[in-house]
Amino acid sequence: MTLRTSNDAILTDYQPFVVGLERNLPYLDPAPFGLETRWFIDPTRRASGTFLDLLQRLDALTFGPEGMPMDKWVFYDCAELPGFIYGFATPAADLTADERAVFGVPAGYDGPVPFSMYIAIPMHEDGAWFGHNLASLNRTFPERRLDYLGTITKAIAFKAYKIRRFYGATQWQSKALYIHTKFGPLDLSTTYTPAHSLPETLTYGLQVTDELLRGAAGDPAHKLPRVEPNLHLDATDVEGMKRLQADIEAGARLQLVGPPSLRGKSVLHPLRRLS
Amino acid sequence: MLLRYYRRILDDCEPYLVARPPVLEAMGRAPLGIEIPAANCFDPQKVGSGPFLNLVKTLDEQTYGPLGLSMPSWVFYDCAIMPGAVFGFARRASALEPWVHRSLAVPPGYDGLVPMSLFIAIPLPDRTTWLVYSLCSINQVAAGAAPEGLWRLTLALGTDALGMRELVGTSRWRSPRLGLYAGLGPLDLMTAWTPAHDIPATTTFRVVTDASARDRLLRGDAVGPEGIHRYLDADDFGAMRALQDELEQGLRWAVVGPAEIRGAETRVPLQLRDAPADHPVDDGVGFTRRFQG
Repeated sequence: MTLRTSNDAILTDYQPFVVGLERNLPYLDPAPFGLETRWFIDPTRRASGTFLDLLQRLDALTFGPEGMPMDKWVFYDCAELPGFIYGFATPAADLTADERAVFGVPAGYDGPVPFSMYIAIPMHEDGAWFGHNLASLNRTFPERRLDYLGTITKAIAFKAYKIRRFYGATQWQSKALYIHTKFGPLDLSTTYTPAHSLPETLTYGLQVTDELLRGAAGDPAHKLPRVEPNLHLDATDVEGMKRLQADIEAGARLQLVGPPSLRGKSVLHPLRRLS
Repeated sequence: MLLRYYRRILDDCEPYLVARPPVLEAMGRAPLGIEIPAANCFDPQKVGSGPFLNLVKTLDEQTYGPLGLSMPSWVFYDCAIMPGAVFGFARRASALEPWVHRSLAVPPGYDGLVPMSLFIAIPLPDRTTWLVYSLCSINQVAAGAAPEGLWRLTLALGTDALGMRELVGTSRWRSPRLGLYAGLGPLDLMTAWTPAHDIPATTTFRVVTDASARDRLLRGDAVGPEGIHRYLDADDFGAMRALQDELEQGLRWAVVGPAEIRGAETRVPLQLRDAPADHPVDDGVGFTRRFQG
């Protein structure tokens, strides 16, 4: 069944790419939701160098100078070798001169230029993957009308990677939570994480189904059920995070059930305590 | 039997693991017969594991930071201890000399385990091949802080604990780490010149990690000159690019031993896999080796 999304123009105007080792490709669905992958990029080949440089540029453009651009070795060791990078691209010939300049596309390059990417790597358990980077340029190039590109990329990448159980980590103050929570209630396995450089990090898990991915992508026929919160956490309340973490370590089950909301100057997260 | 020469390590150090419970349950808790105490297994999602994990991060940073390959802080969590596991050896803080405390920035008053070595690996999609992206021992940071051979024993036990059948790794051509990995067996090259990496003079390889490989590693077997067809000059970027071209054309080259060093020259022994017995070899194959790792 064809995928419908919040912005179907992305699926018609841009084509998917995948970066991954050839040996890993049997574990990939090359046509998630029937959407054929146009470009397969092998990171071990010299000819892939320019495209991989453009991915690094995409990362930098998305997160800006205040972000933490990934070194190339991190891309290589923490994405391209163990997992996959899935995203949407368009041929360089489709870019304006200004866009080529923003990307730093080398003269003479006529390959794909990436506008979004989602990175996930396999975990020890079969079907489990950890996602660690979502980048998209809808804000960099507003005239291209790439609304929802990040969410759509993430949803289709999940299907391509054949993810059954998904894990991620992010900070309580991250705007990325607006996207992550579109995928339904998130099971919290940490609310305060000293093992992370930013302890105010939450770790979440999610059981993945096609229904869920279609709903997250914006298919109007697949609305995700809404779960009501029974407590809230302020995004700056470190003591509250520690208390909830102690509860989790004692056996409590908590979910993050929706996007953050503003109440006065506070950012509040809706949670549900299941036990 | 093979472990008798590693007795000093086993007497002085304790093995440890960092892994989520599902990973821990699937892992061998007595690699090569060496029991990992339950108290030395750390769940990265528990607050109480924080101080030890900070020391693990410090050891990694002290080792790789000077190489320009510092692990970004989030990578340790997102790309190491959540998807995979860390194995290593540690000593009690109270057993360490003050200068070792300073080397690893052990917090004042800390009396728990201090990591002396680490081996971080994460699975590939087949779940039997693992990518190793950290392997180090405190001897690289503070020479003499732990017995010799710690690196080697950590690699051997780490591969067994994780149950990996094949290891994928990356290394700079000049790194002694490459020779250590080659102790497991022939390193089948996936790249010889790697523009996808910050340091293109990096090789990517895979090697079988079965019981025989671990035995070879622990014994320190060396391949004789008869298994070598060519050497790669570890400082010759042109030769690396040429080798990469050959790999991309389908030739299967492998590193078959530690680098040989003479004066300022470092050369890495290569073997063309599946080559006929009478395959020609380069001039100068076989002179005194320096064993590394």
